[in-house]
Amino acid sequence: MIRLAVFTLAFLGLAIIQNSFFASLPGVLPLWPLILAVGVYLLQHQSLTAGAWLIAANGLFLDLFHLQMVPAETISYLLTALAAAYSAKHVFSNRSLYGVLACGSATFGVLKLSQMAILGLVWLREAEQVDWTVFSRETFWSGILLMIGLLLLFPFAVRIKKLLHKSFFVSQRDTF
Amino acid sequence: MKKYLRIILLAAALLLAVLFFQPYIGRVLGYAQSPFVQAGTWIKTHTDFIFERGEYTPAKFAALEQQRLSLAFEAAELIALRQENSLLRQQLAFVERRYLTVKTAEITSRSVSKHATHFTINQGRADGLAVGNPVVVGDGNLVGKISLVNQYSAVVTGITDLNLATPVSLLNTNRTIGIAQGTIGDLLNLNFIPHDENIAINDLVVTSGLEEFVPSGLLVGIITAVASDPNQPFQTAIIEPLISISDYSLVSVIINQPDL
Repeated sequence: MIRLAVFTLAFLGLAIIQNSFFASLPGVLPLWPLILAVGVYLLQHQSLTAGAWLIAANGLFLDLFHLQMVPAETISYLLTALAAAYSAKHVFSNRSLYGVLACGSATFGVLKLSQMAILGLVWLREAEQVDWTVFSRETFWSGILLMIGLLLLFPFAVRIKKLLHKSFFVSQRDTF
Repeated sequence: MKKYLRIILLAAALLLAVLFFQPYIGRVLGYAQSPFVQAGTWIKTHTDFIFERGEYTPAKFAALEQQRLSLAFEAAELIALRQENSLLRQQLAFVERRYLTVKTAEITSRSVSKHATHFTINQGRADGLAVGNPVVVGDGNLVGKISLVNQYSAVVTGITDLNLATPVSLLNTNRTIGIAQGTIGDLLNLNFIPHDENIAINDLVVTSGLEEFVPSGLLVGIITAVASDPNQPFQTAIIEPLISISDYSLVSVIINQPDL
C-alpha cells in the first residue's frame, strides 16, 4: 500500500513537471516526454511493473485532463506500456547504454505508431483535422528529447537504484 | 492467473476512484501545478530571444513599429466608438446597463501539440464558470473559450484550435463580419467573407457579439493575408493573434455578457 502511494505521488510529481513546467517552456522543450523516459528507465533498471504502470498511467492522465496530442491517448500508452515491458524483458539488455537507448526507441516507435493509427482514423473521417508535417516534426523533436533524457538518466542509474530501493519504491531488476 | 486477476481488479478499482474523484484531484493538483506553470512561463518570456534570434531583422522591426502605430490609431478609434455607443445606449435606454463580471484563474497545465490547443485552469463550475465563457488576457485579448467545466477546474480551448470557431467582425469601414476558425498552428482563418467586402492587411479583428456568452469588441488578432479568388464564392483571410497564451500564466474568464 505504501509503495502504491509513493508510486502515485511520484507519478503525479512527474506529470506536473511534464504538463505544467515543461509545457510552459519555450521552443521544442514542451515536447520532452519526461514520463516516457523515466518509464523506460524504470523498466530497464528497476521494475517492469512500475515502468509499465507509469507509462500507461500517463495516457489516462492526458485523457482525463484533455492534454492529448491525439485522441484516446490511454489506448496508445497502454499498447506502449505492454510493448515496452515485453521488449525490456525479452529483447533488450540493460547492461549497456545502447540497450537502454534501443529499448527507448522501440517504446517510442510503438507509441508513435499507435498514435499514427489513431490519427489515421481521424484523417480518414476529416482530412483537414490532421497535419502530418506537424506530427512528423513533433515526433522528431520528441524522439530526440527522449534520447537526451535517457542519456541523462543512464549515468545516474546506480545512484537512483539505491535511492529508490531505500525508499521502498520499487525493487531492483538484476542486470541481464 | 490469480495474480493477473488481482492486477486487473486493482486497475479497475483505481480507474473508478480516479474518475469519481477527478474534479477534486484536479483541484488539489491545481495548487501544485500553478507555480510550475508560472516558473515555465517566466523562463519562456525571458529566453524567447534565444529561440527567436534571427527571426527579427531591422526591416521587420520597422514594420512592427509601423504596425503598432497603426494599431494605436485603430484602438483610439475603437475607444471613441465604444464611448459613443455607450452614450447612445444610455440615451435610448434600449437595455439596462450590465457590468462585466470576470473571474481570474491560473493556468495549471497545457497541451503541447499543435493539433490541439488546450489548457486547464483552476476555476470551475463552483466559481460560476460555464461552457462557452470567453477567456481573455491583458486588456481584453480573447485567447479561448471554456470547452469543458468541472466542479473546481475547467478546460479552455484556444482560439487557434482547429475545432473552435468564433464569430468576428473587422474594424474596417464596412465592419465586415465573418467566422474565425482555428488552424493546426498559431493562426486563424477568416472564412465566409463576401467578395464585395473590402478587407485589408492590418485590419483589427474583434468578436462580433453574435455568439452566446461572448461580448463584442474582444480583440482576436490582426489580418496578415487576404486571399480573393473570383472563382470561389467567398474571400478568406489569415488572422494572426496579437498575443500568445504561452506567454501568460494568468487569465480572466468573462462569466456574464457585458453590454459594450
